[in-house]
Amino acid sequence: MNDTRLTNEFVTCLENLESSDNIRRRHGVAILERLGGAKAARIARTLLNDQDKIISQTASRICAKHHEPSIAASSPPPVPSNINKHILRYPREVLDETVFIMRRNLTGIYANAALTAIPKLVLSFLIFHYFAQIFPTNQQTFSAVMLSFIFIHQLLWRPLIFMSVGRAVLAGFPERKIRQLAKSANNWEDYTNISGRNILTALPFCGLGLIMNTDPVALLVAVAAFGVLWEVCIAILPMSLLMPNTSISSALHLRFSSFVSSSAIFLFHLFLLYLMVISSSMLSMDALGVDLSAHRSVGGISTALISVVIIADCLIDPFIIAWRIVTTRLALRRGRLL
Amino acid sequence: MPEQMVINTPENHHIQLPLAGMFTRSAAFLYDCAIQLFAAGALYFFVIISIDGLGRVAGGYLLRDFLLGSLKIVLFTWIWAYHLYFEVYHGGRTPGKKAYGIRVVSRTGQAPGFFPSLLRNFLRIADFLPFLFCAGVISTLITDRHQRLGDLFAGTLVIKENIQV
Repeated sequence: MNDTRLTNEFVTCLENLESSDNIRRRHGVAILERLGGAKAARIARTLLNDQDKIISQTASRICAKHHEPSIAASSPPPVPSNINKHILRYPREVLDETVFIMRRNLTGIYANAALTAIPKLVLSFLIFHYFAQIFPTNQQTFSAVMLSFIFIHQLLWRPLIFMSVGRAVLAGFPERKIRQLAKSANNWEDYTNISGRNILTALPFCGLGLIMNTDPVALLVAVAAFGVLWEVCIAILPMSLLMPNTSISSALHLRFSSFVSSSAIFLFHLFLLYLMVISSSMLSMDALGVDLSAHRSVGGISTALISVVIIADCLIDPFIIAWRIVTTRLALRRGRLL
Repeated sequence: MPEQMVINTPENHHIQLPLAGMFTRSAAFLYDCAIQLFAAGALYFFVIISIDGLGRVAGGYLLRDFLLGSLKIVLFTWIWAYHLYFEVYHGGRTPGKKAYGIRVVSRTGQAPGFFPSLLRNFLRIADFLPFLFCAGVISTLITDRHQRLGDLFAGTLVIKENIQV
């Protein structure tokens, strides 16, 4: 076979391989096998993990024939990364990054979230199905039970959720140093540490529950005040996972010196996510024939809606935790602290 | 760091395409929606004001009904062909996607063809279900290449361009 003919055959082969038509690609790889040689083996190496089984098997045969067992037996070479540093300039990019990190350990995050959300799920189930039996007449009893639940959940259960789901989030980080942090087991010492820091936001949140039925203006002011407090304390719990020995004042200082993300934009997206989950659930139940009008209402709000809001909270809470950890991690990196 | 799709070429080159995140995609979609609504609203009011006096002249009713019918067809076409036109003839970039630095590509990294683009945009209806793109969000969250249902069926994906290194 002369050189010109060989070159022409290679060109035809490459054209066929680049095609989106599978039959042409199979034809291309068949030519490649016939041509043989080191050059063919190099090309075949890129096809080892091809989605088409025939192509990948032929490629592996070509590599094996040309005495490149290491190539034939292994997966394609590691991709050299030319995107080493991706600069996050906008809050939406931080949100995207949060989703990418969550995707790397989605099963772990939602397994932990499901375990720690059991009290909420049980409450939601009881409200949805047995509200009339549990609270036959007195709405105040319902309010008291809900308040007690909020107190216990926020003060005692929330640190456990943050610790468990937070570590699962850390396992999805691209950096080895952070993934190592995820490997440490949940223990009593960590729990008490996080619980102590959690009080700063948990108590005001419980206070919001207390004044829920009072003057709407006072409630609005209290919600705004809580929003500001939440914003200020945003890095405290994530810091206890990322750098367990740092003080609360360091976390507060970090919040004001190095944060790139915006809570306002985050809250806007959060609102949309809640709206999406709640409205989709209600519409789906309606479409499936669940009679939502049969449910009683508490203070003008359907109990079905209350239970759906609790479920939506269970689904979206891991995202909130992940976002707080990612923003804190970014701030630590900007401040060159971790 | 964003996730990437890697294309291995027969020449042993690796082309890395960073995938666009769902929040950037939704921001670009809202941008496009704003353009579509603004243009559609402007056209609607222009036509309504223009045909206002037609009912008072002989044969005017017929012309007015004809213009109103045409307006509906034009608006329908505008809403549905907007994404298709820009994706096919502007390298997978609608004005919204261009503003946010993302584009639609096929699985081979090229601009999408007419039918894949038609399919991905038609299936936006499925992505919207049950409400507010819930199906699309779930699909984007769990698929390997961050694809919504329309992308899965059309064999397309949305990538980020102008990554700062």
